Amino acid sequence: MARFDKLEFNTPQKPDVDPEEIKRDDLDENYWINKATDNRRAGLYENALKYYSRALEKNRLLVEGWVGQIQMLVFLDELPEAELWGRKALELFPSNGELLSGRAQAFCRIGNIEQAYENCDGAFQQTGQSAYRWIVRGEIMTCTRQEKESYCFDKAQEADHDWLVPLEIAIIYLYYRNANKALQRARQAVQLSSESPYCWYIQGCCQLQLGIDGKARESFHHCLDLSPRHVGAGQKLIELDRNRWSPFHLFRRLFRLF
Amino acid sequence: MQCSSCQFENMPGVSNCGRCGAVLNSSPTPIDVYPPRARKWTKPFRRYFYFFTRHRIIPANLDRGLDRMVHNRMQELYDNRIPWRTLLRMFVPGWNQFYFNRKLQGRIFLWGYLFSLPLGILFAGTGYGGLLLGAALSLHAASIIDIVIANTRDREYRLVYSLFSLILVGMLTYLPAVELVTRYATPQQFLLNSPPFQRGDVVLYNTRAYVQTLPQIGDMVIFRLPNMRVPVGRQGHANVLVQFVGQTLIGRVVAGPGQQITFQNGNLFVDGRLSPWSQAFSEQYTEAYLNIVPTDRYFIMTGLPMQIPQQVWLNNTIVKSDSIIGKVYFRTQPLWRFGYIR
Repeated sequence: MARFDKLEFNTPQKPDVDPEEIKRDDLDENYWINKATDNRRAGLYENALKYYSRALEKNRLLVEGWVGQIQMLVFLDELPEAELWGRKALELFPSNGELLSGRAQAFCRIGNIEQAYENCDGAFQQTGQSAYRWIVRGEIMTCTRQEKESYCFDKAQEADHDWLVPLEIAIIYLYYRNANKALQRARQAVQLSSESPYCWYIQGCCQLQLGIDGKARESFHHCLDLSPRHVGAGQKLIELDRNRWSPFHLFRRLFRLF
Repeated sequence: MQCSSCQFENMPGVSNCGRCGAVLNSSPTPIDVYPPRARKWTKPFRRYFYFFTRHRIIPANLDRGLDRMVHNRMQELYDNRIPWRTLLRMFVPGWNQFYFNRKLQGRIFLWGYLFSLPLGILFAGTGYGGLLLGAALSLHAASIIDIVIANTRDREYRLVYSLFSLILVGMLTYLPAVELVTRYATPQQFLLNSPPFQRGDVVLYNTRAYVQTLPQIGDMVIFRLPNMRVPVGRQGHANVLVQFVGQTLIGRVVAGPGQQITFQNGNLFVDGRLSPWSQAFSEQYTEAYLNIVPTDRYFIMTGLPMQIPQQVWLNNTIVKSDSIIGKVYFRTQPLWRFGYIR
């Protein structure tokens, strides 16, 4: 009977397939590397790490992917993991300058300065030049409070004129509580790319650390104008509104006098 | 085949790059491309307990032509130096930890110190006060030793710098503070009931109160008595002596040098006038008694009963002026009777 022809009994259901998964198989490593870079430029390091890993799924011999993973682990403050991953990557690509620099950066932040210097010197002995090697060198000098770190960072900016370079230098200065120099580099990044919300956000963070609340507020507003859903900038503005002058904050600032 | 690491062109079939040694072909064994990740609790734990971070300053301005031994020695000195600003910050517990971004330790030292010290001062004179003051001093010392260890590398330098810093801070802060405080506010705890004070009361007395002035009538004073032996009876041909060990007592000055004391019907009269503190001692002093206070002595009522031998009573109540240690002016314990003593 025709009316019962369309009834379904125990028919196996096709599993729901993620459209992203369907697309994923067709995409090559360059797509994922570009996506990782875009997320990195937006300050979304977790996503960037994920996309670097996907790029390596396509091509395990992509050095840029390995270096990116180590850098993202460092920025995410997972330093022992970054050092371990750098060591593993160096087993595949021994004497790669970028990987040595990544491992040196992880050692520096862990506090093992001797190993950091060894790896950094090793990176400079390899062929090729890159901004990242100079950045790591500068970071080690910043960490050990030497005076010539700005020379290394200037060399990094000469090697690569991208705005991400001064921005990551500013992030390094902020990590070592040097907001003055961080602000200089953040301003350079903003001048190079005033349309990047992350540049404005980092500039605002530097101004906030220096106590220039008014300018910090403007920077965060600029960031929100460019990216209305920027979580970090929104939170900072809320904190600024809450943290008015109080004896407690004055007491805290007294500890920063020396 | 081009190496992806150094872009060197290798011969086909080669598994490793001839220049940098990088792997050229994907090996049959799978390579994990997902890095290990820290657990959720690991990152805050590492941030707070970052004890093993050591920042070593490599002396960049050393003259390379120096003798190796001198170079090593200078390196050692440079590695183990403590800047003067770090020494200065040691006077506040936790400040150096905040400066070197060790915030958890800084908070523990600072807030522990700020919690223990005022409470220790409030309960000074009691066992709890001693413990709290000891805890405050320990936290301060621990903050100094912690930062010395973080800034130095060698054991000898750690020992020397720790001792030096502790002595410096102690000499410049605690010694003058204790000297100043004990002159004007020394705590004394009552071990027995002594009206108007009870056992466990803690009072403060000023040892400098009578440097330029004399005790006034009505002052509550603390005084010390010498050891003495008093005959209380006879056994055969020998006197029976009782040893009274000198002690520290607190009492109120009721009459000064040259004044006449009279007890009548439980009332105390000084120079013929009823004393304002007569009612406080009316239970103990019931006998009629007449005396003139000698010069350079004071009649101090301590709450001792008159039933003890007369000589003992006299010695404990008619006191030489140089036996008076200080003036009792404040009660700190118990807290519900906290305040000035009138």
